[in-house]
Amino acid sequence: MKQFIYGTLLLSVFLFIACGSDDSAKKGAKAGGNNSGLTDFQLKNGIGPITAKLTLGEIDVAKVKKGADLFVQKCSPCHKLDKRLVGPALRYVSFRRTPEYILNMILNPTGMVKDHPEARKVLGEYLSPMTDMHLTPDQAKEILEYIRSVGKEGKENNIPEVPLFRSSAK
Amino acid sequence: MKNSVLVLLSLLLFACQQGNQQSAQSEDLSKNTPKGQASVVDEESALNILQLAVKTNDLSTLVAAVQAAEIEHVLVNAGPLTVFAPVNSAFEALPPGTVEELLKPENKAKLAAILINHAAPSTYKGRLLKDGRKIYMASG
Amino acid sequence: MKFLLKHIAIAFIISAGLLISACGSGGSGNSGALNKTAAEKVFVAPGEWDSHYAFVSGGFSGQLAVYGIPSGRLFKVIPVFSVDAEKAWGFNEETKPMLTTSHGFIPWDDSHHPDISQTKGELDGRWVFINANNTPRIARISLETFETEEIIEIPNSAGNHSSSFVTENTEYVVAGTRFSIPIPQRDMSIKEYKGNFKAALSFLKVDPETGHMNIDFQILMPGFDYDLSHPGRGKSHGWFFFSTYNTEEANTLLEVNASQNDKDFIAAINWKKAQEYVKAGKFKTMSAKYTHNIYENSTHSATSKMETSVRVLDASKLPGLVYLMPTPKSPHGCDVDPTGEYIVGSGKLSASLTVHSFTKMQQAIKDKNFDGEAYGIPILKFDATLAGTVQQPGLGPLHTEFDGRGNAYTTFFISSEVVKWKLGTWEVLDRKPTYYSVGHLMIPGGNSGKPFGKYMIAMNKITKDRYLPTGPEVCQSAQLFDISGDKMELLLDFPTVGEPHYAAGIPAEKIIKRSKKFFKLEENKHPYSVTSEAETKVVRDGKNVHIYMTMIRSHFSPDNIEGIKVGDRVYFHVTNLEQDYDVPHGLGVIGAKTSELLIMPGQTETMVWEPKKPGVWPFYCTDFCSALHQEMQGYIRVSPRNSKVKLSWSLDGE
Repeated sequence: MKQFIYGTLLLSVFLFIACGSDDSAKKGAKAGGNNSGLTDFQLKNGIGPITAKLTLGEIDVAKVKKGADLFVQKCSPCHKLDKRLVGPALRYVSFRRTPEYILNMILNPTGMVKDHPEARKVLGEYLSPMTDMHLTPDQAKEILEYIRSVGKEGKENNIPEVPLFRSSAK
Repeated sequence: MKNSVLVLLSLLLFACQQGNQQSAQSEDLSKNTPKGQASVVDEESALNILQLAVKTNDLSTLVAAVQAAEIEHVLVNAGPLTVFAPVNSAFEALPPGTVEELLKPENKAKLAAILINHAAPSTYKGRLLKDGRKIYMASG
Repeated sequence: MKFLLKHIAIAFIISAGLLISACGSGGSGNSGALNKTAAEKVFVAPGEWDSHYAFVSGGFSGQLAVYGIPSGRLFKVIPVFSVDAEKAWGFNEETKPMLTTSHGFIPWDDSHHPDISQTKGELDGRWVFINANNTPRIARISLETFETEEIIEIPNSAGNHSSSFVTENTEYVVAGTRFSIPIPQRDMSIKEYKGNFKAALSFLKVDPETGHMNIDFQILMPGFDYDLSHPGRGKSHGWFFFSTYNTEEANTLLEVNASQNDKDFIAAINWKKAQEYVKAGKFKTMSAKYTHNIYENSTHSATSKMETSVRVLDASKLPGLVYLMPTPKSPHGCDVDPTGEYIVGSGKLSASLTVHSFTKMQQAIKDKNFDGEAYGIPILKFDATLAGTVQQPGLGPLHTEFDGRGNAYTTFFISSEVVKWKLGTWEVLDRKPTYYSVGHLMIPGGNSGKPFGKYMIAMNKITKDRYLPTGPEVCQSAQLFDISGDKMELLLDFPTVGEPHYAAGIPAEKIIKRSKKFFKLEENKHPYSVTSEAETKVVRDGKNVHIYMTMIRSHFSPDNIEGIKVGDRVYFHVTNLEQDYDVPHGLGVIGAKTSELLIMPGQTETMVWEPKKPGVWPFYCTDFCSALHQEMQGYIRVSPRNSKVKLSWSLDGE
C-alpha cells in the first residue's frame, strides 16, 4: 500500500517537473564547467559590475580616509571589524575574498545573494541578506582600500581573526 | 488509504473539468443577472415599490403592465421614486381594448413610456403635493 | 499485488490525462485571440503587470485607492483627507500639519473627483488632484511617491463638489461650490438666502515644475448650486463649464423645490478673460483665512501656512466673463468631448441628454443672442447653443465620458445602465446594464483631449446580491467593460474601498518609469534625522526627550534606552537607513496613544510617546522586514519622576 502511495507521489512530482522544467533547462545549458551556472571568473570574483581583474597598487591613503567615513555611514550598522554582528566581521575579508568579489558584493548584494553559491552559504549562516546601499563603484573602491588597510594593520598587530562560520570556530 | 488517494485524484480531475467548462461559457456575463435589481431576493427588508404593488390586489393590472414593459428594475432602484399608481379601476376606465393593445410585445416601448410618466424622482409625501408645485416625472 | 498494479496503472492514466489538459491549456487560449473570453481578458498572470492604473476615489473614506486594470487588483490606498493608522498619516508629527485647516485639525473628509495632470491635452502622469467635499480642500498627490504632497483649503466655498478638474496644460485646477453661502460668512437668517447667498468658483494656479498650487482668483457667482465642471479643450481651451441646479435658490427641501424651473444652466466661464481682468486690477481683495499645507520629500515633513486673502472677480459686474446656457432639469454631469466642441449636460430629471456646441455658443455671444439675464449675467438662447439631443436613452442620466473614436458613454442611475451613443448624430448605439445604480464612469483619459478607449469602468452605488453578504453594509463596486468593439462587453466586477465616487485612469507606462524606489539618505534634510548609527543619541530638553534612532535589517540603534521618567514626552525620531527598494520598517511602542510609524527607506518619521508608569517597556518593528524581523526589538526603561537614573543608550553594549 505504502509503495503505491509513494509511487503516485513520485509520479506526480515527475509530472510536475516535466511540465515546469523550462527555466531550469535553460540555466543548465548556460552553465560552464561547474553546475552553478556561473563562469569560473564569476565563481572566484563574484557577479556584478566588476567583470575583469583589477590591478591594485599600494594602499591609497587618501582613499582609505574616505573609505573609513563611508564604512561608518553605510556598513557599520551591520558590520564591525572584529566582531560578528548582523553580518561577518570584516577585518580580514580582503584575505578571504578577491578585491573583485568584495566590490561585486558591495555593488550587487541582491544578485550575489540570489545567484552566487559562496554568498548563499554566508546568508545561510547569518540569515539577513546584505542590504543594497546603492553606492557608486568609486565609493566601493574607497571602502575596499579601507578594508585592505585595516587588514594589513591587523596582521602587523596580531589581531585575531573572527571566523566567518561558527562551525569553523571549533 | 487507497481510497483517499483516488478521491484526491478525482478531485484534481474535477478541478480541471470545471476550468474547461468556464472557458466554454457564454461571453455575455450580463446574462448572470437578467433582470437587474428586481431579481434580488430579500424577504426581510421593508417592501420596495414593486413588492408592494405585487402584494396589492388592486394594482394587479399595473403589475402586469410593468412586467410586460420590463421596467421592474427601475421601480426597485434606490430612486427616490414616487409612483402615482393607477388602480385596476383606472385601467378599466380606459376605452375598451386599450390595455390589451398596450400589453402586446410590439408596444413594449410605448407602454414603458406611459408607465414611467407615472414615476417621479424624489419622495412626495402627501403634504408636499401642494397646488402649483411642479413635479417632474422620470421621463422628463 | 496485481490489484495494486492495476490501480497504479489507473492512477497513471488519470495523471497523464491531467497533465495533458494542464499543459495544453496555454495553447488553446492563444488560438482564438479575437474570441478571448472575459476571464482571459482580465487575467493577469501571477508576476505580470496590469496595463493600466485606475485611481479610484474612496468617497466617504476620504482616500484614493490604486487598482490595476484589467485585473481589478488593489495595490494601495493612498491616504489623503482621512487619517490612516497603517501609514501613520495624520498620526506622526510629520503629517499632522497636512490635515490642518482654518477649523483646526480635521481627521476625515469625503474625497470625490480625482483628475490626472495634463500637458497639451494629454495625461502626463505627474500628479493626481482630488477634492475634499466637506471641508473644502484640494489635494495634490505625487505619482512618483504615490503620496499626498499638498493640500490647500478653499475659502468662500461649501460642499466643494464641482472640483478638482484640470485645464489642458494643468494651468489651473478648478474648484466649484455646491452650497451657496453668505460671502463673507456672517450670522444671518437662512430664509434670506435668495439674492444674498453667493457662490465662489476658484481657479488654482499650478506651478509647472513643483506642482505647488495657489488660488489665483475666485469668481463670485449667483447663489445657485454648482454641481460638476469640466475644462474646455482644443478649440474651447480657455473656457470652463459648470453645471448648476437650484437656480430657484431654494433653501429647504431641495428634493422638490430645486426642480421647479424647467431649465437650469451650464455656466461658461472665460478664464482667459478672467486673467485679463485680474491683470487690469478689476478684482477685489477679500480677507479670508485658509490653510496651505505642503509636504516636502527632502525634510519628510509637512508645514501648514495660514493664508489671509484671496482675489475675487464679480461675475455680475464684469462683462464677457460668464455666460449661462439653459439646460433642462437640474443638469448633473457637465462633460466636454475630446475635440472641445461639445458640452454634454445630463439633466438628472430629464430622460434626454442636452448637448451644447462651443462653436454655436461663440456665435450666439457674438450675435448677443440673449434670453434675458440672471444677476447681470447674460443667458444665451437655448436653441442658439443647442447642438443636439440624445432622445430618451434612459432614466436619470448622470455622467458622460468619451472613447476618442467619436462615441460617448453616459451613465443612467435610475435605469442602472451605461448607454453608448454617437457624437453628432446623437443615435444610441448600445446599452449595457450595471449592478446597480451607477454613478460616475471612467475611461482612461476619457475627459482629456486623448482618451485611451479600451476599457471603461462603471462605478456602482448599490450591489445587494452581487457578493457574499457582509451584514447590512455591502461593498460598492466597479464594473469593467471592454469598449474596443462595437458593443460594450462586461468583463469583471470588483469591490472597492468606500464609495468609488469617480476615478482617473492612465496607461501604466506613463507612470512606472518615474515611480520612486527609495529616498536617498544624503538628501534627507529632516531636522532630527541621523544618517549613520554613529550619530544616534538621546537628548533631554526639560521634559522633552528626543531619541535620534536608526533602523536597518534587523535592529534599532539604540535599542536599550534608560533614564526616561514618568511625565516625560518622548519623541522617537526614527530614520530608516535602508537604501533599497521595498524595505520599509515600522515602529510600535507599548501604550503609545497614536498609530505605528511606517518608514520608507531613507525616510525619517516621529512618534510621540508619553509613559505614565515606571517599568521597562518594549518596542518593535511592525513591518515584516526580514528573516530576523522578530528579533528587531528594543527596551526603554521608565523610572519614577524623582529617580536618579542617568540618561543612557546603547546597542550591543556600545
